[in-house]
Formats: sequence, C-alpha cells, structure tokens
Amino acid sequence: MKSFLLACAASIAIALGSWAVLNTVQLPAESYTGTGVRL
Amino acid sequence: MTLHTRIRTILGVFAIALAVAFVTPAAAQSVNPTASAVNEEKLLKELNQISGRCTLPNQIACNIEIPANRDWREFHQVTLRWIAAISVLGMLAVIVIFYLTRGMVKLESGRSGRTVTRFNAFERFVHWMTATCFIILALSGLNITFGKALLLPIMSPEAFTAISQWGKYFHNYLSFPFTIGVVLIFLMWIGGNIPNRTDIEWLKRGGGIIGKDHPPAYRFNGGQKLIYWIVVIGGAAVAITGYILMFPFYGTTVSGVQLAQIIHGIVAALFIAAMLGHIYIGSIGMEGAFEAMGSGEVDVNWAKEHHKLWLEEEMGKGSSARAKAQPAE
Repeated sequence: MKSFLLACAASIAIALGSWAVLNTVQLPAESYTGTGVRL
Repeated sequence: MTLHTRIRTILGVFAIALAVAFVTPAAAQSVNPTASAVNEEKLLKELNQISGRCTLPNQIACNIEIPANRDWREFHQVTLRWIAAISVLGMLAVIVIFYLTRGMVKLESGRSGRTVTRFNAFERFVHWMTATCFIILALSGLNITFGKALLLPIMSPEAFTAISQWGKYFHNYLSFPFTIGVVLIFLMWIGGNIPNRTDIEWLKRGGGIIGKDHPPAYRFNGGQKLIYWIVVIGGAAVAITGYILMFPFYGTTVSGVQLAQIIHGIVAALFIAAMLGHIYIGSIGMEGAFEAMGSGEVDVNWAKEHHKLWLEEEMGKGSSARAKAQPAE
C-alpha cells in the first residue's frame, strides 16, 4: 500500500513538473506552426 | 527538281506527318498543371497532392488536397476502432471463458505460513507508478478512439468536452512518469528476463496455467518474460510515437506524424489487451500472485509451485533472503 501511494504521488509530481517546464518554454505554440513562428 | 528529289521530299513530309500523328497523343497524356482545363484527378495521381502558394508562416496550410490524408482519416476513424475493439474485447472474452472453464489457479499445497521476499519496495514502487499511469493513459487513449462514438451519445457535449480535455491533459503529462517507469523496469529486471531453455520447457508444459502442471522457473517464468518484453518494446514504441505527436514537426512531416499516430494507436491497443491478461493472472487468475506486488512477500509454497528454481537460489543465499515465519492470523 505504501509503495502504491508513493508511486501515485511520484506520478503526480512528475506530471506537474513536466507541465510547469513545458508551460514555461511554450513549446506547443511553436511546434504546431512547424515554422518556429510563435502564434 | 528531279523526279527522284520530289519523291524524296514527299516521303520526307509523309514521315514527319506520321511522326507528329503518333507522338502528339502520347505527349498529350502527360499532365500539364498549368493547363486551364486540367483534370484534377489526373493531377492528384501525378503529384500526390495539390499545393498552392500562400503568405502564411505555416506553409503546410498551403496544401489544398492530399489524398493520403483520406487514407489516414479512414484508418483512425474506422480501421483503428476495429483493431482496438477486436483486441481489447477479444482479450476480455478469452479471460472470461478461461476463468469460467479453468477457474483460479489454486495454491495446491496450501499455505506454509512462511514467506519469502519476491519484490522489494523500490521494485513495487516502480511497478505501481508505471501501472497507475498506464491505466489512466489507456482509458484516456480509448476515449480518443471511441469516446465520440460511445460516450458522446450518452452525455451532454459539454460534459464530453470536459472529460476529453482533461483526459488529454492527463494523457500528455502522465506520459512522462510512465516513460520513466518503463526505463526503470527495463534496467531493473533485464537480468532476469533474458529468454533461456527453461522458458521453452515452461511454455511446452503450459506454464502451469493450462493443466495442473508446475514447470520449474527462475525469478521470471516464460509468461512473465513475455509481459516484460511487451512492456519494454511496446512502452518504448508508444512513448516515442507519443512524443512525436506531442511535439509535431520537430524533424517530421505531416506524413511522419500520421505514421506515428498509426503506430501509436495499433501498439497501444495491443498493449492494453496484453495488460488485461497480465492484470487477470496477477489478481483473480492465480491464488497468492497479487501478494508479490502487494506486500512484496509470497508464501514459500507459492514460490515452490511457481518459481521453484528461484526459491532454491534464494534459499542458497545469505540469511537476509531466507524465508521468514509469518505470524498466525
């Protein structure tokens, strides 16, 4: 049970961390144009 | 001009006329894209797409018609749904039939009251991190493929939009812990998952699942090794193609992204089907199996029946690996 709860917590932490990083660098806005031009 | 010269001139003109008569229709068959009355279908067959010129920064928007896109749409709206439905529902049907005919694989020798450590805390942590992410990825992925057809008719468009939007967020961001989990699983258990002769014997004897036999196995039997490689190879395939879809056009074209989506969809569908089998045998399919990933401790008799060679190895190790007496309940 302890391993399971830790695993859930780690998953949420990694997901939120990746969201924060990608939100900061704004990769999706650039990537969808395919030109390097920010929307 | 002599008669001879006249004949030669007439023959020459006749030869040129013949050449023009035969060559001109062949030349007319090639497509001239600038011709005003050009046949659109012929042009598509020649060029595989019709593109215009535009001043938009995104030059992909200048593509007017790409017939390959219709094939891709046909795939993800029809073919993928069939592949996913057959593999997932087919596996569920097999599991139900198997459970009704074979039932739970019982612990034949009963419980000994002594346990041995099967998986340590870190191994269980990695397993559950990957597993919980996989379940949410699978459900949100199935919603992308089937949601519009199955969920939208039974709920409001607003509710379906909210579920799909949040599902996509979860799908995108839980891919990172899932990928880390797959990498850790690969590194953590590669040592015990190299196929060997014991696995062939194990498979020949039905793995103790078909029939009542208990073929000997090391830490991971043939079936578990199969699951391991499905997770490693399938996990790598869905992760790579998934990141191509998340970050399109970084080194790929539209057709590259479409190919990534096709691979992602097919592998994910088969992956879900395989994991349904894994979940079944690790829970209600075999007595005592869940404890291995639950508490990490398995009964010695369970280990003797299903992983005899591994138990012998563990018993041969130091005192820390020896079986522990379990307090009577």
